[in-house]
Amino acid sequence: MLSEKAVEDKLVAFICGNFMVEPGEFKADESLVDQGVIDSIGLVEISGFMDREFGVAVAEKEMNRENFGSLNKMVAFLIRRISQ
Amino acid sequence: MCGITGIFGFKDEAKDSSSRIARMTAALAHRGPDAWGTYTSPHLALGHARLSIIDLSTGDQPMVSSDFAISYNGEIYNHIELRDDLEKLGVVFKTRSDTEVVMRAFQMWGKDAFPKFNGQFAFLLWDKRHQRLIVARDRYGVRPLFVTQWRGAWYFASEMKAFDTLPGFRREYDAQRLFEHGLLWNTIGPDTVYKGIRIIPPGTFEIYQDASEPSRHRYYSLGCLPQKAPVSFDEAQEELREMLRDAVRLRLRSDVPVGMYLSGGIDSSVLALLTSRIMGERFKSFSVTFQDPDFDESVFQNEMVASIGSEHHSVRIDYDAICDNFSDSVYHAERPLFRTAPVPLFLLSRLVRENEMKVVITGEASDEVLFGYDSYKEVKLLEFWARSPRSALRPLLIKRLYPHLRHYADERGYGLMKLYYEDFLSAFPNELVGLVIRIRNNSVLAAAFHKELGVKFNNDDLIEKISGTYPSRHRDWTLLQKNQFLEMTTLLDGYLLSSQGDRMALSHGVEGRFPYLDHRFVERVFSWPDAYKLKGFSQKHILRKAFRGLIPDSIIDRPKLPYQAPDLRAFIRNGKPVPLVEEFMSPEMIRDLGVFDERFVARFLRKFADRSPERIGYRDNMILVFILSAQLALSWSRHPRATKLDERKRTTDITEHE
Repeated sequence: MLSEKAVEDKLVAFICGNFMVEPGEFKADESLVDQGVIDSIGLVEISGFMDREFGVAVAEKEMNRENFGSLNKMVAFLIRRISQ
Repeated sequence: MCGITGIFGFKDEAKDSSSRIARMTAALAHRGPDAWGTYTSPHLALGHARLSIIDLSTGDQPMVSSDFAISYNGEIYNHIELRDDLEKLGVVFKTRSDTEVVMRAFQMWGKDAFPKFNGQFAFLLWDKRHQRLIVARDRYGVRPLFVTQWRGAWYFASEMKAFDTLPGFRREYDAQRLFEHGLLWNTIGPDTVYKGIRIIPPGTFEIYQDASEPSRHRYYSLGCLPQKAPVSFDEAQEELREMLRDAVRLRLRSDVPVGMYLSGGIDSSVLALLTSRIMGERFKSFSVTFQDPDFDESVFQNEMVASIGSEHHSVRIDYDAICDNFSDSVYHAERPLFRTAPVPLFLLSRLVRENEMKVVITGEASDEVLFGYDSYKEVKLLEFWARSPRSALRPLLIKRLYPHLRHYADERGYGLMKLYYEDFLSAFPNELVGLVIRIRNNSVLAAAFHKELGVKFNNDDLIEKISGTYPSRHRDWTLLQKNQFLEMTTLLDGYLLSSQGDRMALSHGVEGRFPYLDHRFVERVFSWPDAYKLKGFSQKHILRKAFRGLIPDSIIDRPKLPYQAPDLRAFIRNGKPVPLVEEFMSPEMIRDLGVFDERFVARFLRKFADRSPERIGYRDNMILVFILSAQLALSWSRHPRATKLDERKRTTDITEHE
């Protein structure tokens, strides 16, 4: 079972590697779209990464702000799904 | 079409002005390869590189009368009617050219001449009596004109590369403006991406009297012409056909043959039909085709060719053609690009020239005027959804936003896109929403700049600056009309007509003519109800209705495909950048030019080492093309091409001593 920290580190590494930001350059509790970190394709890429890396296939009804509205929310969502 | 140059307000450097204006004009010889000339007087020098289209025998420039001297780039399509009007008022003409019509019209009517002009132009008009220089541009920014102040004098030119010929002059990016250009595909207002260089805004003229700042005047902005009440949809279709027919008719006025660009879409097909009917004889048409089937539209092009029976020529573009001609295209565009789409148009104008043609009718601006862009759908969807944000049904329209994009259509993709657009709902009511989406998508570029340049993304400042460009009457406009204004003042003027339009066509001395930018058409259509243009999500609705049965159904009914060319696919092959990218985005070159952050660029390029570019989205395409072209543009300005004028083609050399 992955720790929250491990999930966060992997997700941050993916975001930084793919969207050319430094770990400290974006806020963990605000929308990545709002901060200009990702565009619409960015959401597709992140959900693809969740599937590949954590085996979490995101269902349409799960695609909402509660789960994707910030880095912290994405991490929490992944932890919930991995532990199911 | 032509290249124009000017120097004004000099004092001690007058003795050098003649050779200086010739050097500046030489840098624009590609715009006007047929002839050139200069005019000098004690405080002014004008230069002109001519592409001869109307009045081949007596239309040489700069043109001089007892009261005026003019260097003029453009076409006033209604010059015949204006000439009649002026002759009735007693004016005697010496030539058949529209240049003289502009000069005499200004002499007769002063600034009231501008609203009478129907066409595309930029000119420098020296008013000898009042010792002042009038500098003007057409309504929508088809023809360019840049100005800079350098060592006590004003310098003017159709393209900025003319300034590079001035001793000691060096173009330098203004990093914040460059970033603004990155966000909007254009800078806001007259500033360019280069320090100290301004562009004369479309629809305005400026009056220079000495070395001090000029007075600035606007003679046109969108929606300024009073219109009679809107007609029924059926009547509007008839009006649309008639207005376009007349716009094409005027644009076929030429003393050399006129050809046409055929994209395979409805806009150019409509123009091809009208051209064929008015001309009544076979004409030449030209198209771009792509080796990559994702971009190719030749099926539709051929269908239209069969329908009008034109003599058709096409140039086939593969990935190598994009790479091999990208640097030359940037040389002409002079600014960063965002897509490689200008490159095929660079090659298309060469094809036109090889076929001994120099004038083409082309379909730009239909998407702006008739609500053809997807941004109109986005604005409409968000406005509709924002009225009932909790609705489960309203956001379903997202699936129909971009039917050609896979990630909008399938179920999973839909959820993500809904999530994405939800973030913009809070921006309502927000009259800039079409731009807000673009700005937010492009704001990643802030991180690409060299940290020491201090480039900042300040959303509020930017929004305020853009809001300030609206004419005051915009409060009465609908959201879609506002979106049209923004599309026309950012993307159209700053990119489609310039980097992709004027600069690519004139790179090989080809003049584009734009019937959809006939101001009578633009103004009338602007006044019609939104639903005539965007009905539901049916884009350019009235154009489709009005021409159904006249052009093939397959062209009317095909989903809109934005004109584009391969970007990353051409530049990254098997995970490896092509030599052009390797060279100009190398750490050494990035350091040398000092514009971008070395780490950002390196990390960006590493992204592609382990994945094929087929899976890359809009933004990565944009970042690569932006950085590469920004590097190339600056590099070209540091190492200008040597250009020389052919003395045998000099037709004008006028010196006046007061």
